Amino acid sequence: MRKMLDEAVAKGAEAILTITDSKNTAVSFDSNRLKKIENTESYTQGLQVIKDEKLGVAASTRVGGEGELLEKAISVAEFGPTVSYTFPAPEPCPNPKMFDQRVADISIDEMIAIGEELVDAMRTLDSSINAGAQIQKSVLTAKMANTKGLGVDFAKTVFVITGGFQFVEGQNLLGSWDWQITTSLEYDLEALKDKLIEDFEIGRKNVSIETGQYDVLFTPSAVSAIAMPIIACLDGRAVMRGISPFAGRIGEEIFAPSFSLIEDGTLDGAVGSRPCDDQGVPCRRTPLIEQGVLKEYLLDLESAQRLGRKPIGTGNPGGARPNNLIVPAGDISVNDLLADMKRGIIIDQTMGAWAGNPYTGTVTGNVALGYLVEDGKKVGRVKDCMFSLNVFTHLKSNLLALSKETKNMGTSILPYFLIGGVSVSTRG
Amino acid sequence: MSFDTEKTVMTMRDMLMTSTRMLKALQRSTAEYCEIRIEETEETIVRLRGNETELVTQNVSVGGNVRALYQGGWGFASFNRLDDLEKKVDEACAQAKILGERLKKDIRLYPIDPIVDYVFGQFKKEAFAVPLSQKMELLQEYNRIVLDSPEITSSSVYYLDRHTHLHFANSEGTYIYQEKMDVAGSITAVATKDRLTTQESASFGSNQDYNVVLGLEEEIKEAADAARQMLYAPVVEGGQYTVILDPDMAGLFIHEAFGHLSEADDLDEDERMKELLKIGTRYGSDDLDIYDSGVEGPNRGECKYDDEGVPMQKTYLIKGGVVVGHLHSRESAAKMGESVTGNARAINYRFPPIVRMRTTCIAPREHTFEEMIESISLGVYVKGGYGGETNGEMFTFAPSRAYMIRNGAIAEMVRDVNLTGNVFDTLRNIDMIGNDFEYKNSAGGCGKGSQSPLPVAQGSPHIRIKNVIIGGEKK
Repeated sequence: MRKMLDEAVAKGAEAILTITDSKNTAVSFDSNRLKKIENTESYTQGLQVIKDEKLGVAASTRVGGEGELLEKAISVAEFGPTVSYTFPAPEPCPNPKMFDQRVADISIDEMIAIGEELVDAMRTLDSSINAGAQIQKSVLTAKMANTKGLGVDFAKTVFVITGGFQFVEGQNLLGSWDWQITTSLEYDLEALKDKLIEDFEIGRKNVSIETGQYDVLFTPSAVSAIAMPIIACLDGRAVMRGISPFAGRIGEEIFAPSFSLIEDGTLDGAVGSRPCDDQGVPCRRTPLIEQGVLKEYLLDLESAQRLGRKPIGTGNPGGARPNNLIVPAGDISVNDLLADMKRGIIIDQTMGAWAGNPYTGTVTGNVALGYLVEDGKKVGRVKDCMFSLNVFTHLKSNLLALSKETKNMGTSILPYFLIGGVSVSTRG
Repeated sequence: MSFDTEKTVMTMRDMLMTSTRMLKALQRSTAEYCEIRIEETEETIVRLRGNETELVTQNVSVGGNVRALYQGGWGFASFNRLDDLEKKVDEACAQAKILGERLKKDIRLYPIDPIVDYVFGQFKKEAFAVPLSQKMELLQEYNRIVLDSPEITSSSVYYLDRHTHLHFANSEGTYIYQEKMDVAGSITAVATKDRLTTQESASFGSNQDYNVVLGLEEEIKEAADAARQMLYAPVVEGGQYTVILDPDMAGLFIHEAFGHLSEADDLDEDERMKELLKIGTRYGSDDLDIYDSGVEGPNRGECKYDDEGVPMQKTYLIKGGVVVGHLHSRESAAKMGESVTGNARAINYRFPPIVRMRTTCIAPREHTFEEMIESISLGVYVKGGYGGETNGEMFTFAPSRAYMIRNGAIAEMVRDVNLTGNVFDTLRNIDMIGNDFEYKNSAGGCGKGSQSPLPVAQGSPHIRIKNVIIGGEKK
């Protein structure tokens, strides 16, 4: 690594080099049976250079292609963005716990056994069900160094269990899936099975609803879909360009006091944790929204510099990227939230909710998997309808509650959100 | 390998050496079937935002994979280190055996006679040969057009080109070399006023011609004007409407609504899904023909052979409103007793091929746009496919712009339109198909499983659909 960095310096450039080496093994089940084993070995070198205040970026998976990589990065820098930063000098980095030898060591036979247990639980529900699962482990090592003396290396493991089914009755298709993802070998197969079994049992009965406004309990999976405009508008680059409606509003209460959002790249066991970001800035814990008040943006070195703020360890060469986003839980259990619901809807899986203009805050999507709740009980599946809300106004004025349970969604940890006055359009 | 150093010019000698190595490694196979893919791709990506360059990057991706089948179990190994192909063949075969010995299933692949072919790119204009300085100059000029437009506050320009050398060999004696090109991108105008931000884009894409990037000035000005108008457009009122889809949107609709459902790897072991998509089932009017093709022309995602070495072809899915075919890999075709179609595709060497679309189309009929609109008292005209998604029975799709239709004429622009429908009802509700067929290639791509974005294209004339649900508040 040092050789390439020294050569960069000799060519009058600053540079930061990242080398990642990963091995991923996945065991997949489809149509109720074991189907394939996939091994993916991946080796990537990523190089950023700053030459004459311009940034050039290149990557290569060619083993032994170092000279070519430096040449490409320097040649594209001529056309790259003018940057107002330099790569940072080394600072102490956090060392989050993200490697579990048990993940590296789990055998293919053990992975198959987990998948079989999950698929068997679904198969017993109905002989016509089409169940699938994937058990996946990854072991990643990364090294990072820059021309200012930064030298960081880390190892990470990731373990993912995904299960789901599709069930066809005539022209009615019911599908559900769920997953668990951690950096360790901690998982709760019973919880995964219970969720899928419940979806099968309640989801087989379709109920119709009328167009109107409903209280909607969004599960963590649905919350991650509707929260996309918030993430897009917190992006320091969108703020810098003046297209984010959050621009110039630090310190202002923009959401309900019950809503907070934290970026944390230092969290033990979280998939997005790492010692430093892609620009060499140490990761840290940063409240973005605290009790409804806008506190910080997601920043890379360029947007931090231009907005006069300190980088928070979320940078990459093209902008900011969160590591782990956490919404602190509320204090009411999901069961109590449901029990108090007179007539409302639970939305668990959405479709097309991403396909909108994130800067307006309007989110409209199909209810791919949702249930009507009457007098505290799920009475059947609602389908062929669309929900619509404005996350900026609804999370300010209509956020009724957050659950005390949270779910790890990989790079976010989210509770259930109970939101009032959500528009639902249906046939007729 | 010699092409480690000779990056752009592949000589026959290089190919022979590569094919010899691959075929030699395949001799070690202990599986019923084994294949090797080796790929080298160089790509350039440019992103401009506002009046600044955000990112310019050039990437090289060199890697390969081995896939093996044994008694119904597939083993797969992908890698960047190409120095020990034999070991990777052993690894994939060993994995297939672990599975096969548990499954003991007799799964055959649809038989294909061995093919030896060298497919050199017959590109009209090579995007990868155009100097970066020229590309930057053009993109910056487009960016200036956007930023000089009234009430436009920002912009987003995205450009991608790729040049790929792909070698495929299997244990049946096939060796195919294909040279591929992909160029795609978009120029987006962003308007912001009183904390409302709107946007609209012009986009391009081709598998063989850099010229698609040129001459977009008028389209960009039109997009900028639409983004400006959208600032003043009301949010659409939710409800059920008769909707006219422009060719771009209709292409996206058919991709989401029926293309995915026709992918036979989701049908071949599910009796009820097979029943649902059974040949002869009626899902539309006599006027409805839907096909997916890899031989239409300069569309993203089309090439001579798919990623199992099967020649791509034109495949009718619905003819005269009735299901007539499905999209297949060799495995799904054999399982369902149908012919291969050349639809097994992988986004790159890190993934095994699965059944994917290429260019998915609704065939034109006789109706004019005027005939479609004249009888609509209240409806919506949607243009430009922004994006869509399906879960089999339902789909959503969002246009990049939309207008109300009132009393047989296009009326005011509306914003934040997202449409949904039940696949089966909606196909039956297509009541007019236009005569103005167009292909659409854009910057995005299709996602399935973990493989995204895969280059695909669509083609359609204007179509009219009754009773489409549009999300939004009901006033």
